[in-house]
Amino acid sequence: MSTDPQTPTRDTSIADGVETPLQTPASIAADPATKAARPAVTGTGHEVTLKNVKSFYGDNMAVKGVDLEYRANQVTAMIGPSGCGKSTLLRSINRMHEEIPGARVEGEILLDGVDINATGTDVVAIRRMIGMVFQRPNPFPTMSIRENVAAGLKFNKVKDVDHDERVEWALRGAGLWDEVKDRLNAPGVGLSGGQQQRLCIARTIAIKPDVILMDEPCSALDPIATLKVEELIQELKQEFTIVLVTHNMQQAARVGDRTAFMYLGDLVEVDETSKIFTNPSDTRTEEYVSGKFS
Amino acid sequence: MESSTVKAPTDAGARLRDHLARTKTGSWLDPWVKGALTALAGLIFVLLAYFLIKLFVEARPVFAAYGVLDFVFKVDWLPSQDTYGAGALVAGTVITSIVALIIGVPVAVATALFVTELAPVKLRGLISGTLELLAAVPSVVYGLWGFLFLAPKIKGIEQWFADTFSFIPFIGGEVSAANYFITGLILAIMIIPIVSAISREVMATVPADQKEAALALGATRWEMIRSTVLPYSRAGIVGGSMLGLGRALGETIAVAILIGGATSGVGDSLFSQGSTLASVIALEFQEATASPEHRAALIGAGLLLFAVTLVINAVARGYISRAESRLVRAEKDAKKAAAASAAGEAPKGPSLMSRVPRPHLPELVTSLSGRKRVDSIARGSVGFLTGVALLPLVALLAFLVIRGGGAISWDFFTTDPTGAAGAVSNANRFLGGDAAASTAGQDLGGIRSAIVGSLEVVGLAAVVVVPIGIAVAVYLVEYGQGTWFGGFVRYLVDVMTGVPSVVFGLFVYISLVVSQVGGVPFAGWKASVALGLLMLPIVINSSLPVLRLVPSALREAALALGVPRWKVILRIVLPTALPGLVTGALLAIARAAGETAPIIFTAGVATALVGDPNGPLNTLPAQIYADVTASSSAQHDRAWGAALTLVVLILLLSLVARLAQRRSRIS
Ligand SMILES: Nc1ncnc2c1ncn2[C@@H]1O[C@H](COP(=O)(O)OP(=O)(O)OP(=O)(O)O)[C@@H](O)[C@H]1O
Ligand SMILES: [Mg+2]
Repeated sequence: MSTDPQTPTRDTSIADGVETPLQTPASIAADPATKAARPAVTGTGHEVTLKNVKSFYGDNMAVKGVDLEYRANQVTAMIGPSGCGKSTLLRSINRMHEEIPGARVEGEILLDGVDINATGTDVVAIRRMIGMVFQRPNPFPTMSIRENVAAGLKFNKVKDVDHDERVEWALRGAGLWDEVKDRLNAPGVGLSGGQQQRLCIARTIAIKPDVILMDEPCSALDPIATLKVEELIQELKQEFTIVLVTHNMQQAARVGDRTAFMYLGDLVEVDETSKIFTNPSDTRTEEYVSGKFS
Repeated sequence: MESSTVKAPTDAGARLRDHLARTKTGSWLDPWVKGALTALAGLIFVLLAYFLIKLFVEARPVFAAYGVLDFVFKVDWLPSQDTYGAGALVAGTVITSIVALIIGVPVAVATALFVTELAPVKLRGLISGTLELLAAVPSVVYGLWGFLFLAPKIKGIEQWFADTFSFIPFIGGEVSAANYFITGLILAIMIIPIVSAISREVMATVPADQKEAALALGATRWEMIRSTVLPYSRAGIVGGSMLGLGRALGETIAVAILIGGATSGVGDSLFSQGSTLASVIALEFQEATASPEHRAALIGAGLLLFAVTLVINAVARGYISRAESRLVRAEKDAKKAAAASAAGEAPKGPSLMSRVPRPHLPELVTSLSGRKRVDSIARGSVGFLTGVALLPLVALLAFLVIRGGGAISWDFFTTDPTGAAGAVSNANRFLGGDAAASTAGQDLGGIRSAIVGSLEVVGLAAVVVVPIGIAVAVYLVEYGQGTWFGGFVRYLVDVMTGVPSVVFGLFVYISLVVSQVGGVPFAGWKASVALGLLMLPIVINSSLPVLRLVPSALREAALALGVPRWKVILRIVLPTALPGLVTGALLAIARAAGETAPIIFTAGVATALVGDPNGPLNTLPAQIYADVTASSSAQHDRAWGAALTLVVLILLLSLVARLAQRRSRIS
């Protein structure tokens, strides 16, 4: 983990792309401008490989054997109809799934080739390396903005980094710094919904995990806040490997390097985003991305 | 799907393995914390099991000698002849409780109706606040007020009533100063706040559209109440009344002061002296030290009382949860109907309107003016009964402030009591007047030792029990949810809530006082144990909903940050729930501070200021109890002063609790 507070650079081409009316996911995904906006990536990141992952709630199998590779420094978008197991799969990857009584996971989940479910592996250490952003913003109500961002560092007793510097780095990274720098000691719950979500993203990246899982991070946000978060995701992938669950096809097309389509607990297909939205291999994918799906 | 191109994991994997090996996460503590919390929850079981076994073992001789049925129904409780049939006590308990219900429930329901349906909005908060104030007054103060003020005042009325209605069985004859009726009356005043609060809650949930539908059909306000509000909230009212009954059955000190203490027979009228299961324990436990059989009989009475309250409370909870589940069902139905109509479906089955119970109009009064008259009479009576409920409070507060305020001075707080104070000398001191002789003309001193002792006893109990109670609640919410053990502990806590405080006092008396644990029989810390047993279920029950209110999203957020579970509880769950936890703890402390029965069994007799809790300690409730029943008016004044002090302390605690609640960050 590097400790230098670096500020991810902003770029606005994605925002410009969105402002153009009448865009379909396919046109977004095929648009060379969107592609060009994606910075070239050097392979310093971490990757997650799923091998025949099955997740259960009691006897009910919600994820039915998924093989999938989340590539380093890429955004993998996960799409699929409600109830198909996206959240369950995501929560299996950082072992939050096992917090639910009766829930268990089978198969292998490898982080840089190391099985995170191997006996003797500390679940808490795994979660520090695989961070998560939730659907609804959930800042800690007893804490200020600063304390919220530093919560992971403080609870984990991280001493070799300057907390204030890291807080600033994370807030800048989350695109929130300018809005809150004058009131870092104000309560975190006093922010607007979109700001709260970016605060939660800052909280997650402040401990510099290897991988960030995002479960519909924009579903509670308005379009402008959504846009900010999308920009942010694009920048974060330079340092992190990102998995993004979304119901918003345009969003998947805009930010996903690769897109995975899940249906009824199965992974139907995963491919380059442009391919998924323009020329998918499976008819179910085609029906789903073209909105013919019921 | 593409073939996976896993890069040689050597460097990254090695780094990760190395990292995993080196990070200290603190998660090794998790199983220990879980184990410790589970053990604490298990402690409830051990405690309750020991409590029951101890009582059974100690009471066995009396059950063996008489048989359970004879013990319960035979009317010959004569300690001097060593015969113990508890029939008269059972009868006394039943009679006083029935009187309390007959008087208390209608008044309580009327106040609830008045507050929810009829009173102007401004008045509502005032009335319900006043009633809550009534609930905070400790029972010894009710006893004091009933004995010194109410009983002499209404004796004439009682006598007139007895003479006029002497043709009714069990009414008539000579009216005794202490009797069943006055006891039941005070009990009624004590249960009104409870019954009223629960009725109010239930009535507030009657759907507005049902009420409006009735009014729209042309019903008067009273007809609307009769046809929708009352039927809808019946289960809740019954449940609340049963809870009030449970309280009346177990009430000890007020009854001990007011009922006279006769045990040989039931007496010939409602206005004769008697005893209840609870009062006899308080009045006779000390003379029973000499006779093991007498003690066994008292413990038998305690067990009987416990069994009865257990059943009553279980039934009450059944009714209340039925009322609540009906509400949930109604909400679900409404949602379904809304969803159906949103989906463009015509509502199936009977239409919404026809599901509203039609006000069946009274047939005798068919003219509109007649119905209006009935309406105003009914509304008038509801308002009148509300006034009746508030009257005792006003009288009690006025008396407290006037008489208590008169007794209070700087010296009152800075000197210790002298004379026969703080003593529970013997059972018959209500009848004899020996205290008067010894204290006449003497400076009685103040109540310093009582205040300090109360703080000591209650503080000790709180310091130990509040953390344990919160820990058990944490176990139930964080680990025990959905497990059989969690459900079991939850049930035990409910059982514990229903144990009358006098039975806890008796339990500590036989297990710690008689056996002289710590080298002395009576000790302040033993009173703390008794109060602690009483507080434990209250703390747990008030913490549970607060902890449940902490959104699980916060727990997940912290867990996902790589925070071990125990730290999530310590740093996220508890701080978020803190205001509510403080409120619950303070209310439990306020409740314990006013308890008298468990203290007189355990803290013993003292007047001087003592710091050491391993020895007899004076307390405010014990001081009041001792002074009330002395016949010197100077001691009565001291009792009033002490009562005012106690009530002010308790109200302060409740006030702080309210403020804490207001600071709560979870909606
Ligand atoms: N706590 C739970 N207990 C039991 N079953 C669950 C639980 N949570 C989810 N499921 C089941 O697992 C399946 C997958 O649910 P999941 O939440 O992963 O879907 P999803 O793809 O995230 O849906 P959405 O897009 O609506 O968020 C569903 O059939 C659901 O009923
Ligand atoms: Mg989901």
